[in-house]
Amino acid sequence: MVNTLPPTPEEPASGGQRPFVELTDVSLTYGDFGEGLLALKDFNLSVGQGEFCALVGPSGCGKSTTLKLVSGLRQPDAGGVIVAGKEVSKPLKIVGMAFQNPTLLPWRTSLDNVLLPLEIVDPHRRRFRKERARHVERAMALFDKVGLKDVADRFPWQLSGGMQQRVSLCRSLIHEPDLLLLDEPFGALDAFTREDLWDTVKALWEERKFTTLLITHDLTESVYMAETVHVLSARPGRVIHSQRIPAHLRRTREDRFSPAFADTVHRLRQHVGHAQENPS
Amino acid sequence: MNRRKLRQAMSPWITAGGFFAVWEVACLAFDIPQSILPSPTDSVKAGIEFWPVILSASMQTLYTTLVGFFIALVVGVALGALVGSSQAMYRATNPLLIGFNSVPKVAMVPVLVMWFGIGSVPAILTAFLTAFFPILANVATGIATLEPELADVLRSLGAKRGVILRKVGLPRALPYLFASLKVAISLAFVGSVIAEMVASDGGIGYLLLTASSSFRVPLVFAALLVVGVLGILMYVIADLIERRSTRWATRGGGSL
Ligand SMILES: Nc1ncnc2c1ncn2[C@@H]1O[C@H](COP(=O)(O)OP(=O)(O)O)[C@@H](O)[C@H]1O
Ligand SMILES: [Mg+2]
Repeated sequence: MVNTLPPTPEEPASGGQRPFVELTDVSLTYGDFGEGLLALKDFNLSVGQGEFCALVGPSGCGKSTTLKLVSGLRQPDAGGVIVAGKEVSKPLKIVGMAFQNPTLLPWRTSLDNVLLPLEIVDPHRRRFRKERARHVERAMALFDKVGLKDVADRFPWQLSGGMQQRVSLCRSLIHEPDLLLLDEPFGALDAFTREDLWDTVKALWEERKFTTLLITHDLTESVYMAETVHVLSARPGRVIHSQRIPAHLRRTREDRFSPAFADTVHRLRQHVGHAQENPS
Repeated sequence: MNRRKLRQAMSPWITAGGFFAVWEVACLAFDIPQSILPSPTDSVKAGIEFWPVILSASMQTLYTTLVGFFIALVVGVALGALVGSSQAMYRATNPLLIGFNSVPKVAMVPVLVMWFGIGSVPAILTAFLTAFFPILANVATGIATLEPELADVLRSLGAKRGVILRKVGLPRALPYLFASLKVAISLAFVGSVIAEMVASDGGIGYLLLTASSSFRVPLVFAALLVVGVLGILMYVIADLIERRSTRWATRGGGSL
């Protein structure tokens, strides 16, 4: 087995960009009554401004926990989390999130679901009513971009899983977040829908370049989507390998079937295997 | 309307009709005396004969039931929202609430009489006490079972507790609330009637008690029939409100 891989980056991550997200020596334990569960330990991660990076790793290694730290939903026990140059101490308002479960509100139409963040987040909240028309226009433009037609007035339960996930994606982007956190958003979709959505998200990112953290257990997905892929160890999680994926490897759908692409996936696979066999 | 639909629509009436037919025939066939089991016709006759009494008693019971139910609704929703929106609160109050729920509310009627005297107040309070727990429990459940991911989405937008409750918690709890209303209104009704039997000078419960103590058995059964009809009526109203308000919970279809 290839167990000799160094636990340090082979190639420099975030090539020269200013870091937008920075986790330094972060540890986090769940539960407070002694028998706590150590989810992350000495976790270091740096994501450049506008970078698209993917986190892969064994199930339960702390990937979702990382997103909670980055978004400020949880505070670390030790170490620092810095986003946009500021220490994170409470939930950030500049993030958009999407999960495997679309979590749309069934009593709201797709349009009203997408507008929800604007009813909640400052500064839009105060002037929501006055500016509704403008927001609706923006939402419609987003629907268009993610390939949704005539869904505005339909309820989530009238949509397919893929369509719901697209609506969820629109909701995570409507307030134009600087940071997009995606926690296995394609995990529950069928293969064809999933591949369509890859291209949708990619196109959105190409256009706006919001800093993106994508969690996935699909290595093909990570290599196709992300500029940098970070492999996490088994729990307690930390980054054991970071790899930049050259842009020319993953321009079109066809690129996914090229030998170079397969080779990259294969190499990552070995690192993940290494993580599974040797919990740190 | 095709045949199958017609049959479906008619089936509850046919079942009820069959029930009364069997009852009637049994009374005739076995020559059961009125003082033991009056036939449906006897009961209805008694009902017609005494309709002013029955009507005013029904109104009284409906009044106590609805007032008690309304208080239960307000208190149940408020406490349910409070209990459901925080884990700590849920943990802290759960045992007390379960204990409270296990006390038969009839057992509290004498206490209520002691405090408030004979009249409609004990009946209203009994209706309230029997009805409010299912409302509270359901509203709390509806709010507490908010998907954690959704809570994360909202919190990461900087939503305050109150905003989450208003935009998501309460709407989410609505189907739970309406499901509980059907149960609660029946319970309120039962509570009212029982309290009236113990401690009132009016209402169906009181009528039942006085009629049976003077051996007017057909009148007792007439009153029981009215109780049943009123129960169905209130259930149907609650059900109608539920269907109109939370179409999304049944994914657009109907429910029963
Ligand atoms: N709220 C929580 N309370 C206790 N343990 C948790 C909680 N959330 C996650 N964990 C545990 O922490 C570990 C990491 O979880 P998570 O970050 O969700 O992993 P994943 O990499 O699969 O997303 C898991 O073992 C999980 O069981
Ligand atoms: Mg996870």
